[in-house]
Amino acid sequence: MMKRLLMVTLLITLASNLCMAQYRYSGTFYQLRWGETEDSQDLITPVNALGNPLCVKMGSSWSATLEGAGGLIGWKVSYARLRSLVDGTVHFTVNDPGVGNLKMPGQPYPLPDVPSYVDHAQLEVSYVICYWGSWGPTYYLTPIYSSEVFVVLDAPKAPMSPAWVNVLRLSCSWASGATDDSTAARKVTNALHLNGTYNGGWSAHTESFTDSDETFYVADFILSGLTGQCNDFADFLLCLQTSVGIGNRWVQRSHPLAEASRNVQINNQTYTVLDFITNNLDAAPWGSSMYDGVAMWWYHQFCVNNSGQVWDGCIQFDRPSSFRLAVIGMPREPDYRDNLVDAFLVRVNGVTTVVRRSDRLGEHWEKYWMPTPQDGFIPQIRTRRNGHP
Amino acid sequence: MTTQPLTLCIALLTVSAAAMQQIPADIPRNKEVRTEGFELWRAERTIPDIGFPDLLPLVCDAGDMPGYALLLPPAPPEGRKDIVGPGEYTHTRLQIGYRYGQISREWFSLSALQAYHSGAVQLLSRMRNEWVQVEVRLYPQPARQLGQTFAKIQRSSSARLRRGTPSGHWLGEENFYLPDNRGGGTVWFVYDRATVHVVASLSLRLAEAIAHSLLYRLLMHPKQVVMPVAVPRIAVEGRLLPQAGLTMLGNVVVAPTSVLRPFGVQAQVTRTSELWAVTLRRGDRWVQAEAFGWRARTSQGEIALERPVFPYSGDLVVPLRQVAEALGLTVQAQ
Repeated sequence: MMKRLLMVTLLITLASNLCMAQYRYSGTFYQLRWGETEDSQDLITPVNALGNPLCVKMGSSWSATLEGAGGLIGWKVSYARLRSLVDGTVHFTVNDPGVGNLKMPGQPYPLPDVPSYVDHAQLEVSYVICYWGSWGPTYYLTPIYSSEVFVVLDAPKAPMSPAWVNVLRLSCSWASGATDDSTAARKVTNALHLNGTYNGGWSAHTESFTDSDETFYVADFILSGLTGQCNDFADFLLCLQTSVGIGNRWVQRSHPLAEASRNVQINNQTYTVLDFITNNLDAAPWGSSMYDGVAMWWYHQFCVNNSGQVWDGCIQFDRPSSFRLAVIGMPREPDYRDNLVDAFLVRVNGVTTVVRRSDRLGEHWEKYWMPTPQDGFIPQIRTRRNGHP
Repeated sequence: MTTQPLTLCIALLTVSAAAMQQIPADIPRNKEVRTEGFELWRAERTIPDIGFPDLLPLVCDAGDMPGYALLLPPAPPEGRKDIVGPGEYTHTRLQIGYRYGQISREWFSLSALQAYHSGAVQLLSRMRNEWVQVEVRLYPQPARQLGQTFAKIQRSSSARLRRGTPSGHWLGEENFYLPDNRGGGTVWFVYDRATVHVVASLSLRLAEAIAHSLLYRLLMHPKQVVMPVAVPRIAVEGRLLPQAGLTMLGNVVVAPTSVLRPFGVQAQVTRTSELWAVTLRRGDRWVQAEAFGWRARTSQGEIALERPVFPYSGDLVVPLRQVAEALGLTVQAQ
């Protein structure tokens, strides 16, 4: 009877100590949010706690720590494994059986370095902890705890600062293996084009449009199976790229929204640029799909950097010689513009004319292309349109 | 026709019908709940007077779409990331939020489903080459007052939307469509508190036919979720028809074929996974029509219908006057 009572007491003490113990990691971790609600509860804190998703810089060093409550004598990692959720690669395994090599509370237990490339992985860890129990030092082997790990190039950038877990699950999977910005940007752009579905160009998950702003509902776009118009694709591509740490990215439109802002003065006459007719396009998804072919658009939206390079996950250029040209850092002028646009519809003196580059009016071709705003913009991002006022 | 699609279709119908009965009455707020292909979500604050059970009757039933079925994906093999949100795929999504209540559902062609289950196609995006998707929203007040207008949607769209309907028939208070380059496309309309959006990647006519059927569903909703239309009393062979099931889509009265039974009309239904057709006979006259078809074959030749035929509650709804007159019945509106 007494023995059983002592055992129960011991277990209760142990359990309470385990609850109070703070399992943490130290290293270069970045703040995350779930991307489910707009309130502060969406933030994932602490950023380095066992069990929470972790966002960590590639190639960095990290270690496990255990801050103990009263009674903790020592601890160590007994088992740890970091395994890619993308292709199953085991990045490292730690096996440290027995009770030797214990660390003091708060002392770090170094883990093998984070992989030196982008990945979406799972970290599994179990600990041996040593408590001062009723009968002296007591050892306890914890269950295996797991954390989702997002290995990124660098600190996530706006608008993904903090980065959203539901975006990172895609971006880190799609960019898996990338060791630099341009590779990661190429991978996520192509993956978005492969997995997304262009809806033909009608308003889907963006609203409150101006020439320098809009609101993009990220969770709605993801839950729709990545279906939307060019605004949604461009905004989401921006999120994908910035979530893995790529900076110097904005979105931009080919033209201002209002007709009144589309006037060009040529030889003292006002030319108003209306729609444009595209060349042959492979609209998302890659390969044959609903809105492939030639389109007439009022504007098109894409992702851009301050050197005027464009990334576009919504379309690829379907060349007559049957290869497709992906837009992955393509110079906006002249390459992207001239691959995209076959003709502009231009109104002058009340008459609308189709202008191709080879036409007489085509000598002003560059003036009909009006990237807006000049420096691009970063959209407001929200979770669900239906979730808040 | 092989038996495999039929078996698949029936299995999916069974599962989804069961799931519909099991929608939890009270789900946590701001948390997605997934069950048997259904996803439910409600916001912290929601519009009044709309619950999940109110949304379900607003979309076609799982088995209403001949040639198409719902996808219930098997758990993907470990490491396979070929569908966005593997293991979380849902064919029917219901959400009630601050701005509206919404239900959407998607079907894939039987051949696309076979390709998926055989592993020949692994991307959800690729399956959307043979796809039907419907989305119905209910707003707390007339949707046009809340910005659901052609003009406002056009202002935030990169493409030029086409005002009207592909057929030119009346459909709701405002509408537009957006054809793709392969014969399919999108149809959208607003009626009172509701907006409806249909995509059919293989046929724009199918998209419009489905859109008409969704308007009928809105008008038939037991909670009268949208403004009812005035329906004249209809007499067939001098006898008044009961009003149940009758409504007007534009200026055309539509009704389930069953309303004609008391007038000696016999119905022979052919229903497989790829076809839902009815042959109505009265004496030596007959009319044959298919679900979501715009034409009917009759004993006097083929006729173009004023409204498409569509399923509702296990029956096919038809433009009443045209079908009744083809069967030799006289129809009068009072």
